[in-house]
Amino acid sequence: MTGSKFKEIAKNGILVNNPTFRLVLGTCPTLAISSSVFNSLGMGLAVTFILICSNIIISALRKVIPNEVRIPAFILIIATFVTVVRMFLYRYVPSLYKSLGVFLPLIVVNCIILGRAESFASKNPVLDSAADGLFTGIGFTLAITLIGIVREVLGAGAFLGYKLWDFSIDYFGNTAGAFLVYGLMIAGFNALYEKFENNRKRRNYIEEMRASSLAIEAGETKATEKVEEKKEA
Amino acid sequence: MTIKQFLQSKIFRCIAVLLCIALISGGLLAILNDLWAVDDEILIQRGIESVCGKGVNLKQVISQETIEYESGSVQQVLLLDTNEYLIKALGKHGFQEGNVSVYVLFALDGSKYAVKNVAVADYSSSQTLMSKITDTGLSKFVGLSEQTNINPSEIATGASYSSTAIKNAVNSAIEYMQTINMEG
Repeated sequence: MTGSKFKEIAKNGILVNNPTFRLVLGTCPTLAISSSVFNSLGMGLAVTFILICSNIIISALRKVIPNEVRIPAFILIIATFVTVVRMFLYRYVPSLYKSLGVFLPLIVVNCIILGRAESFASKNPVLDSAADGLFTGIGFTLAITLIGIVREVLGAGAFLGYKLWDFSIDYFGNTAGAFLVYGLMIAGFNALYEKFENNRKRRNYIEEMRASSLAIEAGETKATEKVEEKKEA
Repeated sequence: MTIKQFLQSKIFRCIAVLLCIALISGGLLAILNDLWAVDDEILIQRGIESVCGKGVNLKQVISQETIEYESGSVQQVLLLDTNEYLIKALGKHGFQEGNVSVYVLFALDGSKYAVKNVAVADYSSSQTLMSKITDTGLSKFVGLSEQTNINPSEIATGASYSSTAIKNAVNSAIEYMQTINMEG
């Protein structure tokens, strides 16, 4: 994998195709789990781990799995890693296991994981798929953690469980508050993204115009030189 | 279709691939399940930590058998090295007839054992409003040595069924401790 391709995968996973803010995938766990930063980070890391592992295995088996049974095969692979994560959390991080509740086994049918398996891992080499899993996971983790920070600070007046002040707005701890924060963040992220994208396009256009005008100028000078040479001759 | 044709067909390939993935996944999960198994000892220690914090250890398991009462049951009775009793009790009649399990810590208060702390251990999936149960609500049981008829809304507002199940669980634990109090 070349450096430019790695950069492109990273940019796609975190910004251009951010699963939460740009593609609006994985909405169910995003709304239900993001009431605190700890839960959001836990869900993000769990999804990232499962994304990397499932992408690697699906990519490695892409020539073996028949097209007709690819979806059941993907779900089997994803379910295996989800069970591994569940067993690990139950053994070593029981508090997070309890907080994530039913949304932990539901990662099996998370659109982000199934989407990346279907659209990327099943068509690309192992290393590229691993990178795609990593950066899509980072994109999801950053997004859900950002929502978690806003909701925990406003809804509980705390950060990572530490009380910041007594003031809190219960609304942000509820699902309705989660919808509001999620919607505002999607709007903000897309507004910023469009602004940067338009600036980039404008810069590229100006550079293209400058290059073409320089080329025209160079062409004109050559033509006048040739005319003068002819006159002298 | 002959056997040879079947073995060369796409159907056979699909079944074989799915079976292989399922078998390998099953094997991996079986190994990890063995490695990361959570045994009773760990569960007991987690229960102790949830009510007493760290640093308290188990002295003796008094009972592991389920003792049924009218609105709940006592599932486990433990004696801690602080000479306090930790009871895991289950309360019935939660939301949609679900259950809630709690850990109830009893400490000697004068001549009787009274509730020192309560923590939720587990609950059935139908108890969807358990997030409304806070430590402040559970602290209403502290100091009790006799069964209570506390209003569920005093434990948590908006989760009256789950609060009732918690109350039933604590009452079952108190009922068990009354026998120990009577034995002196």
